[in-house]
Amino acid sequence: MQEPRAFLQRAAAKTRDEEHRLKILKAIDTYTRVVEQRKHTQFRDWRQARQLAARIKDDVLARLPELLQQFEERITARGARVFWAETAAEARQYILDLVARRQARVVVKSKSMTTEEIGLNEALQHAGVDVWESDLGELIVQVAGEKPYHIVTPAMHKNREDVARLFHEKLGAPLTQDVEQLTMIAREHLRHAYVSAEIGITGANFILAEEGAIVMTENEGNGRLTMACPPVHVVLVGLEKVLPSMRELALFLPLLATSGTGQQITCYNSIVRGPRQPGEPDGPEEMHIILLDNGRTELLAQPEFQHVLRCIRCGACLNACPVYRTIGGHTYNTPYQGPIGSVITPHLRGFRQWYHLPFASSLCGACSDVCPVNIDLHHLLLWNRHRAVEREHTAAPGWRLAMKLWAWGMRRRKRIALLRPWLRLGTKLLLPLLPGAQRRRVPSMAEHSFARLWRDHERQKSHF
Amino acid sequence: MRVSLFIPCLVDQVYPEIGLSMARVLERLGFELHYDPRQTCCGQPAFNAGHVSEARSVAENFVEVFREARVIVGPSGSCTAMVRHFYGRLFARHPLAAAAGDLSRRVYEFSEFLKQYVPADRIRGAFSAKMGFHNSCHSYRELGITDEHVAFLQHIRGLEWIPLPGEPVCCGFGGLFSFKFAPIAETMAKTRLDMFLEAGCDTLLSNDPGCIMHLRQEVQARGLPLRILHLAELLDRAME
Amino acid sequence: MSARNRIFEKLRQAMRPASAEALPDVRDADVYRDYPSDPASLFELFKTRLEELRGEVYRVGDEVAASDKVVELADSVGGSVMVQPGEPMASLLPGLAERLCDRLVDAAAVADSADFARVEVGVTAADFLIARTGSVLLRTISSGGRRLSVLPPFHIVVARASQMVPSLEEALNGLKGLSPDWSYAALITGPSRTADIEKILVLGAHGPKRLAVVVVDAA
Ligand code: SF4
Repeated sequence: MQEPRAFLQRAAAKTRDEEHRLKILKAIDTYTRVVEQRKHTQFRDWRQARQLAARIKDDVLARLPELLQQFEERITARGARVFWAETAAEARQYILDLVARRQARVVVKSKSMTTEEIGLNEALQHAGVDVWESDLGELIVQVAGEKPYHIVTPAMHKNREDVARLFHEKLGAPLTQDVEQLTMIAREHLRHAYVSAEIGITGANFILAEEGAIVMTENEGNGRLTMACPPVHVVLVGLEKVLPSMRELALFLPLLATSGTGQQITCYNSIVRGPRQPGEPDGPEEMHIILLDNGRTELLAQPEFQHVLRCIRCGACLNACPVYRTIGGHTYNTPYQGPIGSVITPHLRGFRQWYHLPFASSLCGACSDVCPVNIDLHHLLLWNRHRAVEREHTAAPGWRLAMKLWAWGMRRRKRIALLRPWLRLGTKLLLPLLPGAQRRRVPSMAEHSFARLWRDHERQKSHF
Repeated sequence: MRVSLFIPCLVDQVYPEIGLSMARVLERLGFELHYDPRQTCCGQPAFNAGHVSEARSVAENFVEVFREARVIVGPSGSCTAMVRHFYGRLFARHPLAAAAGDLSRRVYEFSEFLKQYVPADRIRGAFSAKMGFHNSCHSYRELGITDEHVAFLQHIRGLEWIPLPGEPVCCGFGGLFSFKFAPIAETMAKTRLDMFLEAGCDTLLSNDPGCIMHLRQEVQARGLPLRILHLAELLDRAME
Repeated sequence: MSARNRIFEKLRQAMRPASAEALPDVRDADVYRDYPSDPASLFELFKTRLEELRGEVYRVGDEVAASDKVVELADSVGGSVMVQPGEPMASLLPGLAERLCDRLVDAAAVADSADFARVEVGVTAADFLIARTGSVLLRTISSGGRRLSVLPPFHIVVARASQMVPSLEEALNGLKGLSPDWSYAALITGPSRTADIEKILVLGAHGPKRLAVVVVDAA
């Protein structure tokens, strides 16, 4: 089935799922309360802070080649290897080659949406590698055989009963509904993965140009273990994630934590500048950094879309989005869901298959309101629609014709007046053919237009 | 002051009484009204559906019609936002660019206009309702209209204002979105209406005919005990 | 042409001139409402913040008292203890080895992570303590490597009061001034945590379940 149609079917099914709706609303309500309070207690002026962050990122985007080069030189000088991947396939292949060279059988991963973007888990499993997701939420969806539901909270759609059942059935754990015990089951389960894995794979939240470092932010410690125990550390990161220097972390770490989870700062932030250095007691022998393009340079080349590369993947726009809250993360069928996903996916993966995403929005703008780097998401959704119709010609022939007719009629009052009775009749006749939900959305035209009523109104006045 | 009425297509064709209410209220407040029946639509439906050239061809008519108007007032936040904020883009490098750009300073959404040009104590009347305000997303985010905006209703006796928690939440209308993605839009309307019902409202007040249509459809389909009113309708009845 | 060159080519073509306006020089004090303005209260703020996150904070008068505290904390969980070898721990925690006896695991003797995973308590130094956020900043080279502060279920940090700074900004500036031959630094704010199930907070997801910071006052 074509993706746009499949999307609609999944959406319709999810909207009927009342249990799902309540679970998500509850989780997001908790999130919103904490986040709004944190913004207020931590920042003097949240709006100013996010404007500053946007300025810094725009500055980075205007100097990207220079900063990336600086990063590469400095981290390479300490023994890390940097690989530039133009496509998802190139990034996957680099990792597969590394797996073969190191004869790795076990790989441990910490949460990374960029690895979702390149379909890494499937590729590794196909090559016969045992892949362990170590973030609790990621582990839950992996065990369930699902994809992440949300870029920050991958298992937002599972409650404790769901997790208990999963861990019991798939991991052979004793049945318990105690959230702490469930977490401990995951902890014990993964201890062995960290110590036996030959390769650890992580994402990165920031690239620091001046220090030649990557930064990873998390709460559980699974990322730190992934970077500490296995002999090889691989980082897959989008090439836009640059900050000029460590100094900017003083703003960006609290900003990301506040928008992501409502924390003042996340529990662990790692700054990594290479593999183990002389004089250090431990750390991986090899470190590889894959800088991923995969369509990002195309976004950069479009002045209107460039600033979407400010995104720090905090997930706030998903939580704020009333459409996301209604249809849930899986309906999007993309590694990046919600408003940010609907802005970038058509560019990264092609409008042909993904043009429907920017249309699946009421353009309410709640996303733009909450974005910590001030991305104008709802306007970008609208520009995406313009591009889809005008440049990519994705509109169905029926719609194109309807819009042309509409525009012809709407250009002149006379034409509306002429068409009006026919339209009223036509809607009445065609209405029963539409599916229920759409039928209920068709307005019934008033008996007389305002233009006509106004004439009467004026006439009455002149009689007095 | 002479006011040119901006009657959006949805009001013209589906809810003419909202337009008439607005006209009557403005007349009662002493404004001289002018309505040019050549006006049709601002082009927003096509613009938001991605069909830019169709939107432009319709908007050209709008610009021609309102070229000479001094003050333009319309009962819709999103249509006002279209003219004020998106005509610049729509008419970039177009012969009408200057005329279109000029409109942005003269077009007002109804409540903005009242707030700016009418002293609150001139708006008097009575209407009994447990009232919640549904600010449309475009009026909130593109025009900057907040809940405090309707403070000019303070002299209407009998209104009990019920505060709704948080920022305005979308009702799921979104133009053609509500048709193309009807099941999503319907559930969004339900979620939004539940907020009003839970807060204990019997009336929902809005400033956008799009939201009003969408919410009325949902109220009707589910037989909910909620009355949906446009600000103009409320004032028209209250000031009688 | 290699992928690297092709990407650079695309990047260069996409470049537009940066805004001529210089970036404003913004300090943490301008951004954060809760920036500590009174230097005397830094320790109290640090303690409040870290305790809110269920970390433990102890202030001791001198090195001997620090040793006592670490032994007491280690006793509270039992099991083996690994202390970061060499300085500054030797002078921060005098006589600790004798007091822990055979519970003390020799860092040099434990090579692979599997053995390491059996250690119950990891004791390390730190580079900075950050009052505003209740955080500890440490580098591998100053804190016994990457594993010692994350693999054992109980992490004890011993630091001097003089290492306290008001905010992240000062800590990051300070980090720049330290010897640069480290590969890894961790900014730690509380014991490991998760809220992945129903947004309910659980401590000790993968990293330490307990974090204690022992602050030694200047002698
Ligand atoms: S677009 Fe903004 S709100 Fe959405 S994930 Fe990115 S940074 Fe967060």
